[in-house]
Amino acid sequence: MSEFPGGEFDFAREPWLTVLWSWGSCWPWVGCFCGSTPSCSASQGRHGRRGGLLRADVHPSASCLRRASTCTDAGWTVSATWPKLWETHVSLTDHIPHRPCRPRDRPWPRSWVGEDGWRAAIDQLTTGRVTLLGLWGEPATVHMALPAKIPDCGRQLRMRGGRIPERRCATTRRRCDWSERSTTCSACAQPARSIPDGGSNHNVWAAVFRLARLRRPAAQPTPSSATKARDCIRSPSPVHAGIIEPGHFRFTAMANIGAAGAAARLRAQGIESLMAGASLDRAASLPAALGRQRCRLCFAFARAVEAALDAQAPARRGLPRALMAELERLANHFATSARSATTPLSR
Amino acid sequence: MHAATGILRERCLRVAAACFGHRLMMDVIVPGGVARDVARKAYRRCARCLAKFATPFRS
Repeated sequence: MSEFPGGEFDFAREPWLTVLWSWGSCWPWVGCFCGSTPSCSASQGRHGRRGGLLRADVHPSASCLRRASTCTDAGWTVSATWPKLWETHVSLTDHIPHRPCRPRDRPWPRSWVGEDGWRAAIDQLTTGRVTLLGLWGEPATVHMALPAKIPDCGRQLRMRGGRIPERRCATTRRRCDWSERSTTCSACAQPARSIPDGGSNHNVWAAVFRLARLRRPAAQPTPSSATKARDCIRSPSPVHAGIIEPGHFRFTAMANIGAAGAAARLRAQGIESLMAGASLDRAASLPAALGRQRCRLCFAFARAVEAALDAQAPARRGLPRALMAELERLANHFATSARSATTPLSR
Repeated sequence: MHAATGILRERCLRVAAACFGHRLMMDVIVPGGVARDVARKAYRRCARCLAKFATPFRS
């Protein structure tokens, strides 16, 4: 086995790769001749004889593969000799019907999809070929970010209308549930109450009052399956004996995670709504209000703004940024360690 | 454990305040760079502080 920046290749099983790897330096330039995008046409002159696409496949660098991905949109197809590499790294949207992206979209290429494209993307999520990075909404658009295994090769899908199809990402990715619910809320201008349970408890609890079953007579309809004993964890003993009965604390993992996610999501939604229409200075100070990872969120926001404006921070500013993020991470780890050391569960 | 890690966290925050002007380093990283000038001796101070962090966990 030999490891390359793009992954691992077994030379014993793929002898053609050995041949091409040894020939890589002397192959003539092979590239995209579509010339439909500025990057494709510019690349012909820039990469000359040594920087051919073939070498780019063996040594997949981000810029080369991004260029290759753009070429795929223009209708250029790759030889069937390269199914594995191509399928893994480049053809992220080959099976997703979409309209080609524009070169000015940064940092990831963006594509418009319809409802069929959205469903196809969810199918790709189901097969595991694509992972989901983000899902968010605007008043008339829903966005889905699909990262590639190579940095900067991801793709952002946009769907007009802002209405998520019936087949939802949450059927394959449980974590998407809150994103989809809130996206439906904000993007479709539906009141939150129209979502079952008011979007409050993941449909897990049949009743608003979670302990209602304990006090409810048998004639009432049975609660949902999630409240059965197998999904519940009962605290083994009363925390304050004599005041709270054993079994009073009943919680499911999903409900608690859902509640925590709801709190975080609501807080994020508030920040997002504050960011909408704000000036850049004002917006740059808002991520610091999101929990404990203030520095890292500001860092991420700054990187996003720089990517969108196609600007680059001075290289000498990279070190203090990284140093601040690491210091904050250390401080958070120390705080977490201190808290977990005093939590009864860790004793 | 609680006290030890609490001290370490406080040291972290003090170093951050001394080097970057804010204990929690809020509003320091901005689009386009860093909002404050970071002196060269700040890096040395960070390095010294990081070297001390490993001490309580030895032995």
